[in-house]
Parts: sequence; structure tokens; C-alpha cells
Amino acid sequence: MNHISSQEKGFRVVTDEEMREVLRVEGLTKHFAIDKRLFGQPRKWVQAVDNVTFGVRGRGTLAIVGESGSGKTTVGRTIARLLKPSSGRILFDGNDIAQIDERSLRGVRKEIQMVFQNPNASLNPRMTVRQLLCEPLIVHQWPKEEHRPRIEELLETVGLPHSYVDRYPHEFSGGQRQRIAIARALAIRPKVIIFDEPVSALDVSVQAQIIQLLDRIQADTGLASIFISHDLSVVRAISDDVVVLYLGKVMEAGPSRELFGSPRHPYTQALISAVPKMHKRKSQDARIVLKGDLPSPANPPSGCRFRTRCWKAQDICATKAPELEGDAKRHFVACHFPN
Amino acid sequence: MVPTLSIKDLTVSFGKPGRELLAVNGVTYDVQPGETLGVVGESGSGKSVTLLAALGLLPSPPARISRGSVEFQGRDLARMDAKKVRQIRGKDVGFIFQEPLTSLNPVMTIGDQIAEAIVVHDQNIGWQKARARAVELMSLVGMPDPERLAKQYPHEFSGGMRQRIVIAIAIANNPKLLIADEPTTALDVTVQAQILDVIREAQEKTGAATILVSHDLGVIAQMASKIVVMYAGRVMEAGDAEDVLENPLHPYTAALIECAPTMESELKDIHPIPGQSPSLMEMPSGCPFHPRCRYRQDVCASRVPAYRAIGSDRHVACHFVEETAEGGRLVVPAAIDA
Amino acid sequence: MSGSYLVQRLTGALITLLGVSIFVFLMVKALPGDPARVIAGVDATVEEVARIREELKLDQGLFQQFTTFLGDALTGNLGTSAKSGNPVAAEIAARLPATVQLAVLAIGVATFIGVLFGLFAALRPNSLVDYSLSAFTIGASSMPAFWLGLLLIIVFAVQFQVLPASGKDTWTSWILPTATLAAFSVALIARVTRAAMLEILRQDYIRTARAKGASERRVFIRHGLRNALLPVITVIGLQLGQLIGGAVLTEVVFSWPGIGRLLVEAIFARDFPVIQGVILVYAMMIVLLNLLVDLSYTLLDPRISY
Ligand SMILES: Nc1ncnc2c1ncn2[C@@H]1O[C@H](COP(=O)(O)OP(=O)(O)OP(=O)(O)O)[C@@H](O)[C@H]1O
Ligand SMILES: Nc1ncnc2c1ncn2[C@@H]1O[C@H](COP(=O)(O)OP(=O)(O)O)[C@@H](O)[C@H]1O
Ligand code: SF4
Ligand code: SF4
Ligand SMILES: [Mg+2]
Ligand SMILES: [Mg+2]
Repeated sequence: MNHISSQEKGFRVVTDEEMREVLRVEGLTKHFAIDKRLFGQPRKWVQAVDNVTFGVRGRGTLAIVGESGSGKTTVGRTIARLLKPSSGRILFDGNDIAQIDERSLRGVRKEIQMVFQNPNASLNPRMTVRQLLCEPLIVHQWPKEEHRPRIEELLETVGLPHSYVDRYPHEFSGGQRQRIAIARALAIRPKVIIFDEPVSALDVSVQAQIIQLLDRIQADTGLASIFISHDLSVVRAISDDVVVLYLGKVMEAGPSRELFGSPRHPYTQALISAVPKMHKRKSQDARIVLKGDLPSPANPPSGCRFRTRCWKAQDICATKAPELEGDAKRHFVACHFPN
Repeated sequence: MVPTLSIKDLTVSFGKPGRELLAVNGVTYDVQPGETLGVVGESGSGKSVTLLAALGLLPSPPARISRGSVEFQGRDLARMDAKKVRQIRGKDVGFIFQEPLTSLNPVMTIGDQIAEAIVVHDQNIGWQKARARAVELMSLVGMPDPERLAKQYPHEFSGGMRQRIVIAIAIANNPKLLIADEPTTALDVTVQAQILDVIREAQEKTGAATILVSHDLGVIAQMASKIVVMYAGRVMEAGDAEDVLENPLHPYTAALIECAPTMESELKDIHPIPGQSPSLMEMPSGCPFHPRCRYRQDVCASRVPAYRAIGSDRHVACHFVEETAEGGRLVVPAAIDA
Repeated sequence: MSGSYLVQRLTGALITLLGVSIFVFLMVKALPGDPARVIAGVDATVEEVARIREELKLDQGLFQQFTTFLGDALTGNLGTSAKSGNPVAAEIAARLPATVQLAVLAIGVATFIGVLFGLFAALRPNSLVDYSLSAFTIGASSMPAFWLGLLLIIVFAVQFQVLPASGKDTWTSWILPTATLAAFSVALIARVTRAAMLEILRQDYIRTARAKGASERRVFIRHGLRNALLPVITVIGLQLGQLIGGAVLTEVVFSWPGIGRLLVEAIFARDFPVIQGVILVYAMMIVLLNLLVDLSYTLLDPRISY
């Protein structure tokens, strides 16, 4: 993807630190075998993630959006190396961690953490808050005398009273559990945290608390994050950059303001237009309602993957997959007929 | 005009008498023919229990209507015998549920599931005719090639398609009332837009009054003409949807609007409500919102505010909302910064 | 269902049967006692025993013995009974119908009563029916088949003398063996039906059915039962081994002329060819029934397609 770096030159002035990418993903691809047979090659593959490229800027939040099944979680799990990519590069701290072995992964795990959508499933119900927060410290061999102050600090950071330290997860509400999960991910001071739908299961009032919390933590710690979500209004509020996925492929990517301000890909336009607006009067502009459902990722359409639901599709879209091409504002779009 | 559904002072409890938990406490609202009423509230606020109890769909025990009435076209369902309520359910009242993936019987073809809704209310029609009508209903809710799809099973369909099937079942008998309980919560936005359109069309074709439950203010703003805001089993505010969203009188409504991110708001415009919704076990005294309310006063913790009319078209349950010439406003000594 | 799935399942079944035949073959080899001597009789000469040993090819290598055994078995030749001198296949063929008839009847009765019981218990959880069901379940499943059989004989045949204690001559002689064999399965099926039904009744689609205005009976039968049958069939499939064990004991207790009793008689007589033959037939029955259970899923549950 050489054209990306060549395009980057004319970009607006930002601080060096912001500009520097802490994490870069190039041509990331993950295929899952389905319909496995006892012997021989599997008959079918799901192309969950196909040739995805993006960079996460220092102190920044990169959001990955897309419909269910578009491959958001798979991208996240692959970057955290909970899954091994089929191909592509994951550049972190100058190293490609895409294919390194379990032993070298220990160092990576310290720097890249993941928070999952369902805090009930990710917190061991038989461990107290103290034990939950201690575990990563023990695993990564923090000196024992630092455990207690670190736990106090973490609880303070995520806004939980210290008196909760000996309680079990079931004694907490969904929002509080998510705070515990966040504290746990923060414990060993990683450089990057991947949040997989961290607020989707929460009530709006609590969702807002967590969003504000994440923003504050990022400002305080300089953490870079990948924020996976299907909720565009949340993404719009908290992200610096956005990647729009559809059937495992990047449709559009760019700085949040750019992408929401002037979306160029028909799919992004449809997604934004589908969000119900609070004020009827302001939203009278034509609403785009996509027809049909997401096609099966095991059998994606030829050419442009979005073409079966695209109202702009022409003959060429069925035969030739559009390249992801960027402009001077780092705004990338994969469409033969972008806006 | 007789309201299609009129819920008055409905109180629903779970558990044994004496140690019961009130999931719904004195809820009052109604919906007129042809009108769309939006019910919003956070999870656990009693939106579903109110409607399920009203139509006799809650398992009893443990659920019990301990007070109030539910009038459907003037007849009190809460006091009607179960068999009569059953004749109204599915015929005059259609239901759409939140979980499209699990709301359909996995071992019955979708055509039969739609046809069943017709057959159970019309013994004379016969399955043949009912199946033909099911195919018509399927094309009505926008399913391509309904003849063929009618013979398939639910697992062969996506969430959006299954929700269309559920809608077809709900409107099979041209109901007078359509109840949609978070019909799009489990769906992607693009599919949500499709389903909301289908519901809107179904409502236009049948002329049914509609109650649309959602926790998404945007969905309500798009669909409803009236709104009911629930919190902790009570109605906090009700009125014309546009008015309430533009000019909320109740502190909870205002807070709810301020904490929801929209496609216009910036991060700094999102103001969380501190704390969390109370559980049934530890319901606060007085105004249930007082532990989280910016405007609370001493009286709020001790006295439950009455649910009363403010102006011609608004109802509010807050001690400090006053009627004024322009409608109403909140009058409190000072906001507490939480 | 695709043809390839059937082929795959059948291959699996054949591999299982091959395994069983190896096991049966080796088991008999490992048993104490010399088959040749048993056949020849106690006062046979050393020459006679050697001749029989040669006839039975007992002097050949183990692998060769096995291939001969397998080849014979495949052509329906299971050897000759050491006790009666008749072909084993013929002895089994004579006894098999009685076993199959009893088993089919018992399973049929057990399924019918069990499902009915389970349904009632699920309809009214924590009611009298429900409690009596649990009591009966615990009683029936903690009582071995021979013990229950003996009890029934004592009560109905000895004490009241209303039913015959053995044989299969009149229709009345079917009652006690069927009851004994069915009892265990009734309890199990009822319990599973109850649990499955209570689980199913919590499902969202049951609420949908009620929201349609369907009557409680329709909700129960059309939407509940059909879905609840899946786990019931699974459990029956899993319990086949125990069921067959129960069948053997039942046949012994009631002198039922089936292959179960044949097996026990053969064991006492150290009649190895018959033992081998009967175990092979049992194995075949289990494999076949498992296959049927698997295939019945595809009929009952459209989500399962192979
Ligand atoms: N272990 C797996 N084996 C086979 N297919 C898989 C596996 N994990 C994911 N997939 C498939 O890969 C695709 C992308 O899945 P993924 O979970 O990344 O989507 P997502 O965008 O996170 O969706 P959601 O919004 O529902 O969480 C889907 O089609 C999914 O079915
Ligand atoms: N079967 C039940 N038994 C006990 N409590 C219940 C039951 N069903 C619902 N509740 C409780 O009733 C309250 C209101 O629930 P519900 O109406 O489903 O909320 P929502 O507004 O999210 O639809 C919740 O606190 C819920 O836990
Ligand atoms: S390439 Fe064609 S089908 Fe794909 S988004 Fe662009 S116009 Fe639509
Ligand atoms: S009654 Fe008091 S606590 Fe309740 S909403 Fe009004 S001001 Fe707030
Ligand atoms: Mg996901
Ligand atoms: Mg609900």
C-alpha cells in the first residue's frame, strides 16, 4: 500500500506525537475455515477480514464501524494477537507482530490489551475486584509492594469507591463491571487498548459515563485506543479516525471530522443517514434506506462487496473491486464512483 | 373518542404478597386510534412489563396486577377472564418483540407460523386459505419470493427478515393496536431503518394505533407523535413527542436527552447522569430519581411527586414543575452539581 | 440430508462394529478355559482335543484367527454352539424376535407414558403430579431391573397369581417383562420431558405463540412438545446401552426366550461362539439404533441438516 505514505505528505499540521502512529496494520487478512473435513483442505472459507490497512495515531482513538458480521471484532482480536492473522502485517513499536510466536507475544500482551463487549463474560465471577486487578500485575511480574497502591490508583481512575475492592462481579451493575474491566486492562499501563463495543450493553445514561471516562483516561495517560462500535453517534463523539468495514473490507477511512462531515462512500452515506435523528425538522433531507441484508461473508459478491445493496452500482462494480485510494486529507475511499 | 388502549394506575408486582417487588408502579397512559405512542426509558424501567401485564402475557405467578385497570376499547382486560383476553390477543392486538432471533418457533415453517395467527382466530378459514393469506402478508412486509420462503424455517433468515415475519404475524388479523417492544434494538441501523419503514407502512395499511417501545430517543422522535418517559416503574413525563423532546420539563427527561450522543452533538455536549437506575430491591423513597437528580431538595426524598397535568397536553411527576402561561417550567432554588 | 453424510455415518458405524468384533474376539481369547476342551467334553482324549483345536483353527496365529472369524461372521457364519452343536446364527435367529418385540414394546410404552407424565408435571410444576413423578422417578431409577422384576413376580404372580411369572405364551405374560423393562425408561423420559418442557416454555417463541392468541393446549403441543422431543430423543439415544443391559436382566428374570437369556446361558456353559455371536448382535443393534436416533433429528429439527 505504497500510495498511502506518499499521500500523507500534504496532511494538515498536527503535533509530532499525534502524527506518529503507534500501531499500523497493513493488508491484514483473516480467513476462517468452515465446513471442516476430517482430512484434507476445508471446503469453504469465511473471509472475515480482507486486506485491511490503517494506522492508530498516538493519543488517538481509531474507531472501527460496520454492521454485525463485518469483521470488527476479528480485526480487534487479530491485532491483540488472540487470533493469528492469515496474512498481512501488524506493526507495533517498529516490529511486525503478525506472526511472532507465543513466547515473544508476552511482551506484546503487556502493551496491547482488549476490553470485551460483555463484561459478564470477561470477568471471572469467582474473583474479587482485588484479585481481578491483581492478576495482570502478577502475570507481568510487577513487584509485590506496588500492587496495593496500583489497585487504589486504578479504582480512583475508573471512579469506583475503594470499599468495593473485596466484592465479586455479580454485586455490580453493568456499568460498574465495565469500569472494572477497563481498570483491569489499564493495570499494566499498556500503550494500546482495543475496546470491543464497550458501551453497547449499557443504558444510555451509563454509556455516557463510560464514554466520558474513556476520554478522560486517554487525556491523562496518553493511551492510544481502537474503539469498535456499531453506534455511529458514539463513534462520532469520541473518535479521531474512523475505519468503515463492510464484509471484511475497508470501504472508507479517514479523520472523523472528514468522514462524518463529507462521507464519500455510498455505504458510509447510508449508514449515517440511517441513524434516527432526534430532531425531526432538521432531518428532512432524503433518507437512504438500503435494501436487503448483509450477504454471507462465506460467499461475498464479486467486484465491489457492497454492490448488491448499492444504489450507485454500475457494471464495472461487479467485475472490478475498487482500490482504497486516499486524498491529501488522509481520507480514503474504495469506490468506483465516490462523492 | 374512546382510546384504543387506556392504562390507568397500573401496578404490577412480582413475588409473594407481603414481600413483593413493584416492577410497575401506578402507570397511566393511553393511545388513541391511529396514533403512535412512543415509550422510552432505560432498561428495567418497566416498559415491557407494563404492556405484557396489560395483555396477560406475564407468567402469573409470580407476576400480579395489584392495582389499576387496562381498558381496550372500553373493556377492562385486567378483569376479563383469560379466554376472552386470548381472543383479543393476536386478533385486535398485534405484538412485535425485541428478539427476532428467538421469537419464532424453530421447528415450524414461517408460512405456518403466520397462518396460525389467522387460524386460531377463525376456525372456519382452514389452513389452505390461511397459508395463502400468509404469503400475501409476507409480500406486504417486503419479503421477496414469498411463495418459496413460506416453506422455509426461521433459522434460514437474517434478524431483519425474521422481524418482518414477526410483523406479518402481528398484523395478520388487521389489529386495532400494534405493540412493538424494542423491535429494532437487536438490529443493525441499516436494517432498523427498513424495519421502521415496514412498521410505519403496516400501521398505515391497518390504521392501527401503535405503541412503540424503545430506549432510543431518535427512534421515538422519528416515529411517535406522543411520548411517555418511564423511570423505575413510573411515568416521569408524557406529552406531545416533539414538545417533550424540544422542551423537557422533568429533570429526568432533560438528563436523558443530554446524555444521549447524537449525530449533532460533540463529546462535551454529552452529560452523563451520575449513578445508575435503581433495582427493584432498593427502590429509593420519594421521587425515584432523587439520588441522581441535579435539582433534588429535601422533600424529594420523602414525598413521591404526584403525576399531574401541566397545561393542556403535558403530564409530569416532579415536585418543582409549575404550570405557566407558555406551558410549564421547572422552578427550583438551585441546581446541585453532582 | 446429503448422501455424503449417510456414507460418512455408515462408515463410522462399520468402524465401530469392526472395533467391537476385535474386542469380542480378544475378550474370548483372554477368558480362562480352553474352548476346545469344553467342546470335546471332560473325558475326551488329548488327540480328540487337538483335532477339535485344529478344526476350530485355534492352532493358527492370532491375526489369522481373527480374519477367519471376521470373514465367517460377515457371511453369517458365527460358528457352532459348543453346547448344542447348532449353528450360532440359527440359535440367535430363533431368539432374536422375542428380544426385539419386547424391547420395541417396552420403549413404545415407556415413551408414551414418560412423555405424558413429563408433560403433566411441566404443566403444573410443584403440583401433586409433579411430586409423585419425582418420587416415582427416584424409585424406578434406583431399582435395578432384576430387583423390580422379582418384586413384580412376587406381587402379581406369587401373591395374587394374576399374571404368569415366565414364558411368552399368552398376552398376559408380556405385561410384567414389559413393565420391568419400561419402568427405568419411563422415569428417565418423564424427567427429561419435564425439564425440556419447562425450558422450552421459557422461550421467546412460546410468548409469540401466546401473543397470537393461541390456546394453552396449542401452545403446549404444537410449540412446546415438538421442541421438547429433541432432548428426549437424545437422552434415549444415550441410554441405549443401559436399556440393553436392562433387557438382558429382564429376560433372565422372566425366562424370556430372547438373546439376553441365550447370552447368560452361554456364559454359564462357557459356550464361547454363542457369547461372541450375541455380543456382536447387541453391538449391531446399538449402532443401528444410534443411527436411527441421529437420523430422526433431521426429521424433527430443520436446523440440523447434513
Ligand atoms: N472462529 C470463527 N470461525 C468461523 N467464522 C468466524 C469466526 N469468528 C468470526 N467469524 C465470522 O467472521 C465474520 C466477522 O465476524 P466478527 O465477529 O469479526 O464481526 P463483527 O463485525 O465483530 O460483528 P458484531 O457487530 O456482530 O460483533 C462473521 O461472518 C463471522 O461469522
Ligand atoms: N418474571 C420476572 N420476575 C421478576 N422480576 C421481573 C420479571 N420480569 C421483569 N422483571 C423486573 O421488572 C422490571 C421491569 O422490567 P421490564 O419491563 O422488562 O423493563 P424494560 O423497561 O427494560 O422493558 C425489571 O426490574 C425486571 O427485572
Ligand atoms: S464501487 Fe460501485 S458498487 Fe461499490 S460502492 Fe462504489 S458505486 Fe457502489
Ligand atoms: S421531584 Fe425532586 S428529585 Fe424528583 S425529579 Fe423533581 S426535583 Fe428531581
Ligand atoms: Mg463483534
Ligand atoms: Mg423491555
